[in-house]
Amino acid sequence: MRSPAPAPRPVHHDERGIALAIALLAIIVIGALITGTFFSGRTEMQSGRNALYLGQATEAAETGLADAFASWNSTWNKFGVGGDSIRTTVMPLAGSGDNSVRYTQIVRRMGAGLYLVTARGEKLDQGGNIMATRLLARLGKLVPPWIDITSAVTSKGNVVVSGNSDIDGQNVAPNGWGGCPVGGADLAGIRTSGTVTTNGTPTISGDPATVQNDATVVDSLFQKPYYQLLPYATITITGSPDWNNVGPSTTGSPARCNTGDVRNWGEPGRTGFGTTGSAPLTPVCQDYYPVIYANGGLKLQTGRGQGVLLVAGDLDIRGNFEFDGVIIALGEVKTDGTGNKITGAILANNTVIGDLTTFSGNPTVLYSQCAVSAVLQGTAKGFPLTERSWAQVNTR
Amino acid sequence: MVELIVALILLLVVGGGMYSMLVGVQRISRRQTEISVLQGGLRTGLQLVQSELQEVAANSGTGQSDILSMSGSAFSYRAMRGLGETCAVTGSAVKVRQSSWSGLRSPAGPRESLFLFVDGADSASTADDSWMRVDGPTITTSTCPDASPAWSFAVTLSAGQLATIRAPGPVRTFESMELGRITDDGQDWLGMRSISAGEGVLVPVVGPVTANGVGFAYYDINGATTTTASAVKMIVITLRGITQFQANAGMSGQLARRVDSLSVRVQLRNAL
Repeated sequence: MRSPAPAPRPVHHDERGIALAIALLAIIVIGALITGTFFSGRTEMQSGRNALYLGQATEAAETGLADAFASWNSTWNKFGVGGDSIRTTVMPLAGSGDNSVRYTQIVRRMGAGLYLVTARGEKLDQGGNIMATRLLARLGKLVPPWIDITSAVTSKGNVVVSGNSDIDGQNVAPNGWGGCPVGGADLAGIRTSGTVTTNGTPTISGDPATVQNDATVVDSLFQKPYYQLLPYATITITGSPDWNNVGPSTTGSPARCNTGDVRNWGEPGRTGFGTTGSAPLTPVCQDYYPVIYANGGLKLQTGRGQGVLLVAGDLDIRGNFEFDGVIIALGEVKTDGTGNKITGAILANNTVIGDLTTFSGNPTVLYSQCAVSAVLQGTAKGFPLTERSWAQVNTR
Repeated sequence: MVELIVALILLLVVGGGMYSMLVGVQRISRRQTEISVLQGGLRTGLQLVQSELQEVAANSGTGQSDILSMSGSAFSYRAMRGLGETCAVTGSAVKVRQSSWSGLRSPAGPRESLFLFVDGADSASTADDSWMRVDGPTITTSTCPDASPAWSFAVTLSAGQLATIRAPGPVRTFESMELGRITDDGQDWLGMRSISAGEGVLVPVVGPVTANGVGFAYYDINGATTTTASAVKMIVITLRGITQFQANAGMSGQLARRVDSLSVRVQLRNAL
């Protein structure tokens, strides 16, 4: 016999538990506390992140300033007074695939060779939006290198002049160059601590033609300007190569002087005057005065250029080469062949015992105050002022 | 009866657990908030101080320095306020082109003084350049020779000085300031005041900090501490901040005002 089913438990509809209410209250309170903590933490994190972004923007601006003075662009030397020039924006870390920081340089020229270089550093997010900006500035000054030139050819040690060489200390301007001051002093043709020997039918002239056994011609006369000019070097030639076919070249459209070409040493030629070498007359390179540094010896043949040539070893000019400016060689200087012409000044240190300065063939070496000052001015670089050069500036 | 006892015990256990959790979360939340506010305040304040001090110049070669006085708890200095370029220089006035001006405010005397760039005898060298200080010049609005707006700073220049001051050339303005510890409303703060503006007491800027919670240390080029103003290359500022309200150290620590410290090294960018 089946036992009867138990009677169903009566349902009390007015029964109320408090567990749900407590749980909900607890969830709300805890949620509020966690939200508060989260908000506080997030604010802290954003504050820290903003400080980091500002730091990165500052470093980008510092890089822009340092880069401006370390890689001084000689075209800035010709800026008009008072005008701003905004340069291309640079992403310094782009090489490593990081485009999150950038700087833009603004160069402003004041009077007397003074400059204000401003760098705007920016931190970007992944979408390229600016997260932080910092403007820093540095006051600088154009400082041309200085060389004590007292003759067309200055040599430590003996000088041998042969063939149809023409060495002249009379002050002349390079062919066709305008704006050269008139009436500059003439200098000696050759000044040496040793003697000058001639063979053949050379011409040596100047005021006086030669200064021999000059005890003031010492190493520092060559090495001081040499090492002073080294930091200005814009082209470096390594080893002791044969360096042929030097000549001006252009890039882009409209054509600009191709300063990235290590065989482009500027354009000394002018319209109406013949040019040496195969490159056509290139007026856009007439204001380009590179400082060329050969860290060994150098053999030059065919072509033309201007600027300052610094040679750590021996320099051999082997024919059909024209150069306007200053040549300083710590080793010996030698010319061979025909068609060599130097307008400016040559300083040969002849540091190795037995070194000679030798001119053979039919070279022409002419002193030119205009060429010397033009290349030194053209190679001038901006340097930060010694005092109070660094400044924080505001967005303009 | 048994069911009631079990229910009460469970309620006690669950309720106690929840209370304990709530209190813990609340303590951590409060501590976190207080510490965040403290660190944020210290960081922002020190950024301001860093920006203020970076342009201070010191020259160990000439013995000149923008540092007017220095101690472990206070520091007064010339703070750079603006940069611009001259458009005209005469024996009695230096005019600064307004469009070239960079500064947080327009120059106003006698609060701001002037540094004039002096190009040395060899204009192709930076070695003989210097800055001439003109304290508290009268500043008026004026115009440049090309009629553009300018500020005119009253100066007295000899013919020799006139020959070495360029137009356009750089000028800088500065204000003498003091940083130090101040007690305000019973709490210590890092305070700041403008000496040039005649402010008598420091105004709280960063804090609150602990007693002796502001520290300045000065270092020379070799990283050694120095007491010579012209030799200072770096200033280290340390702030020991304290929370404005009490907070627990952790889930169960003592209720107290929490302390944290922040230090910043300021490299003087114009120190030689």
